[in-house]
Amino acid sequence: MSTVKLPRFTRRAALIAAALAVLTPFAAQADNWPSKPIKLVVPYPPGGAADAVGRIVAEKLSERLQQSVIVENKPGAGTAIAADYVAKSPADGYTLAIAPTGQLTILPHVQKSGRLEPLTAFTPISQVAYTAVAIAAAPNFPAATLKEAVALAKAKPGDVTFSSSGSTTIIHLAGEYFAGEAGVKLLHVPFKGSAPAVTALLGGEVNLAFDTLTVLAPQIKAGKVKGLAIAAKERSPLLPEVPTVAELGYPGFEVPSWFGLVGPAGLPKEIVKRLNGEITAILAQPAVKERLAGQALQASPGTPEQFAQRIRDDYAKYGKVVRQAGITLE
Amino acid sequence: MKLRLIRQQDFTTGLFFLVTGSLFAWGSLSYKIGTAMRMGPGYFPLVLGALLAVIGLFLAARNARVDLTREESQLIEKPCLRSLLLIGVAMLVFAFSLQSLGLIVATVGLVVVSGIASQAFCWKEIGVLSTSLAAFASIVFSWALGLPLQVFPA
Amino acid sequence: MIELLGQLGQGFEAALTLGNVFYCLVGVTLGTLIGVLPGLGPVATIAMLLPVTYGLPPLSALIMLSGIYYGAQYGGSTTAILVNLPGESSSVVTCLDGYAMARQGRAGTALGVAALGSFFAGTFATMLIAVLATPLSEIALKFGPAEYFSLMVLGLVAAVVLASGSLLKAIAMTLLGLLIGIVGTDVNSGIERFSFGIPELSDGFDFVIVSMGLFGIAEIIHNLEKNESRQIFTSNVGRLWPGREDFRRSWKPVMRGTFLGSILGVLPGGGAVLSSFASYSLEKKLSDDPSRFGQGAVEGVAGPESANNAGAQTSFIPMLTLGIPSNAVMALMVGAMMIHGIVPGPQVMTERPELFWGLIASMWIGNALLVLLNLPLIGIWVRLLKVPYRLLYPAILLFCGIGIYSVNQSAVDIAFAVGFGALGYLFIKIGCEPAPLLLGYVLGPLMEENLRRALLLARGDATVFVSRPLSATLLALAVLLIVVVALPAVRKTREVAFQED
Repeated sequence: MSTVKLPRFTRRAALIAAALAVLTPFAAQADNWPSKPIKLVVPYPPGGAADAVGRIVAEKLSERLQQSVIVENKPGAGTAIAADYVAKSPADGYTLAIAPTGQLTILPHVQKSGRLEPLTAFTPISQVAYTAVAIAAAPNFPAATLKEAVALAKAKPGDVTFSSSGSTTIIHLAGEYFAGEAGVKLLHVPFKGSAPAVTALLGGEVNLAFDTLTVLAPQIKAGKVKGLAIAAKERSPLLPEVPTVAELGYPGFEVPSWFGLVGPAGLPKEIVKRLNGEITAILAQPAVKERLAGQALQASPGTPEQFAQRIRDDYAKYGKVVRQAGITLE
Repeated sequence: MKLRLIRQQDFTTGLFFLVTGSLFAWGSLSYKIGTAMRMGPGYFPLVLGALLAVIGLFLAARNARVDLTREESQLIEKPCLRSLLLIGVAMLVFAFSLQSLGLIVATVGLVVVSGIASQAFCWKEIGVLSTSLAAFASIVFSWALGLPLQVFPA
Repeated sequence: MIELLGQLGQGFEAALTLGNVFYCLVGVTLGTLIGVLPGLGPVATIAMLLPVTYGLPPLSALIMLSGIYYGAQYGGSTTAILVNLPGESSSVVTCLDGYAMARQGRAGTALGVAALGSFFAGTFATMLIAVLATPLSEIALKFGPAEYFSLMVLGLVAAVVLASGSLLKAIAMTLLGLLIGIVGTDVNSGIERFSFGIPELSDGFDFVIVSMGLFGIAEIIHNLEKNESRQIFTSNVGRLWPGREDFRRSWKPVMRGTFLGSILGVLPGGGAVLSSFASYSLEKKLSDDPSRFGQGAVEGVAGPESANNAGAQTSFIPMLTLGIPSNAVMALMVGAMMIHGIVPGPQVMTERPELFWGLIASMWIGNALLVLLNLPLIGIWVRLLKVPYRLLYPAILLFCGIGIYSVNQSAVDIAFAVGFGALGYLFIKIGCEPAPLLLGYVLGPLMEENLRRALLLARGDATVFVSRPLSATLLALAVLLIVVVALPAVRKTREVAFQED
């Protein structure tokens, strides 16, 4: 493994290059922004909901800013690589990012090193879209309602299993959060992504699955799995017959999986204001809403302050879940 | 007459596996091992590393015979460090100039450095080759396929 | 049956419109192109083209995207045969005998057999999807963690059989591959292993890094140390087309490979990877003269190439019938469907039959187009080998570099590939074959993940692997294979056949 030492050097080289980029005179000027193409970093590989959000935003922003916005997929380490990359980019408005819930509100609680506090490392610009996390049961699982599932889990602690798309994802946290609220012990079975996690549910390998509506709604609709509940304020128009978790006796239980637009910390105020305005306008377009709805996503525009508040709230909420469930990467 | 291992290749292979396997096994000790029934993250690499080391030891021991009389049957060819080094450097030059100096400069760098590795190196030929490859790569990858690559120096 | 014909008719009606044939042609041409360029996979291309398809009708979009996917499988074998570069795990075994054939001046034969075998496999697998998609999708659900683990064990045992060197070295290389596969984040506990705090290692080495290093870069370094007056490729190109003898040797491997690939392709995660390896092992076991394998045996190209193409087609089954993507490309196809407001899932077949059957019909059309496109190209590819090597290798290095970089937009990845290149060069020097390492590397994480998941779900009861019938069957097959290899008589011939080189 002769290459082990190399990357440190290269990272430094990259940093120096980035520093040089900051020093170039025109880059930091906000008044003629944008004067060159903008990079929009997406922390997942192409294909998922985050990528879809990024591509829609990039396409529409390009039209409105009269400047090309290029999506750059930087997957890896559960969004940590992209987060690190964006935080270290110059705050000149030419590097923006789609940040999912987990990157800003869960990752900082579980990382051992390189932890990035969401509101000091990034500049929140606007929330873009969200979807709710749902709970589904395998076809061969005896419980058909959330109440029955909780009763079963109470009768045999640790016997009822749930699949997630990975450790320390918003899905994993949703499961642990619910277990904590319901006072039961569930056995967490992590998978590498949503596809295998849902396959395991379909095949009855696990009893329950937590995942976003994007993933679960088609399977629930087709009757392949039992939809138990949705962790949102209101029922979803996609599945009007599935109750919310709050309705079933856990008031206030909500796990939205959202995507926001952020930049590196210290983004000039004018740029934030301009971008927030553009995003709000873009999200008001019916065509955009429709395309988001294709991924079971709902547009959720707001001011930068509202977005920052959302980050603060969720950050505190998941910090508590992480501590209570004893989730560590040890 | 020199005293040499008759099965130099297999002996070296054994040593290599012994060292690599031991390193992995040793490294996995820093993770939670767990039990066979409830494996921790260190269990699988520990078992695999140990197995690899054992096979390596066996291979090395079995082939550690020396023979004075017969011709060596299995010698390792002398490695050509020059081409190894030049090809490696060429790739690294490409890698670390791509982002800042762009595809064209990076391509020229790669072609020139790797070209030196050839015994039939000729500046004129390399010049033509690097120019045409730089043009081809810019057109195909950046323009036609639309890869997010920096073409010109940033 | 009548109903099926009617549905297929409906499908062809939808797929044979001028526009759709055009998009199919665009897709397979683009697929061939990116398949030929080493390292540049269908995932990156489809991701980039996704926005382009917003404006197309849904069926046209899907036809084009899937054309890129299976077109890339055709193109990938070209690079594997000509320059020993496997761009995807499925073309690793094609390198073994395909490249050997190319060096003997039989590149045309290898490419021809690969194209025709792939066409047969594609046609058969497409028919299989039409007739048996729903029952086959049940297989995917029958595979729990225990079954996956047992399948991986079977695959690794097969990998050892596949090696042409000493048995012990092959086992060691497989183990090393498994260990390299462990680098990165552990799915079960979420911690990073052997990543030394380097963020680029937190998801392990990408396949392209390992294969481009071990095969591509190492081979170039090795070739350069030879005196260049000695040709890397024989200048005598020989016949362009497979001859009668090649067909006689190939047709059975093609059939068997198609069958294996069709079945394994249905399994999400790992199934498709195994198919070409399994086919190679099978052909080698069945051959009268296994020593020809690795030295340019046409069966070693025909079987795996058919298997890999059949697998590429049947990997659509879980996506089409269950709405579950079995690999990254299928995940993108799901994304494409969602953009058009089609929710992938079990209901697509009944609610949008023209889409389902149209896509299936287009696959057959696409495979036919690919053969028409690729056979004339063989002449050009073969002529490419006449380019002096001193001009060829910088180009290969450049394409490798761009390919590796484009996976994660990371320069560090290229540095890792250089490291694997040096390792591959060492393996050439000490006479170890990299193919088993690569298979171990691909299967390692899946194997560990499923082993631990199976035990977690069984609450630590290891009998789960033998108490589940499907898992037990797979393990029994693995044991059988070991017995066959270890039988004294067999081993003796094996030693004679392999140790003498």
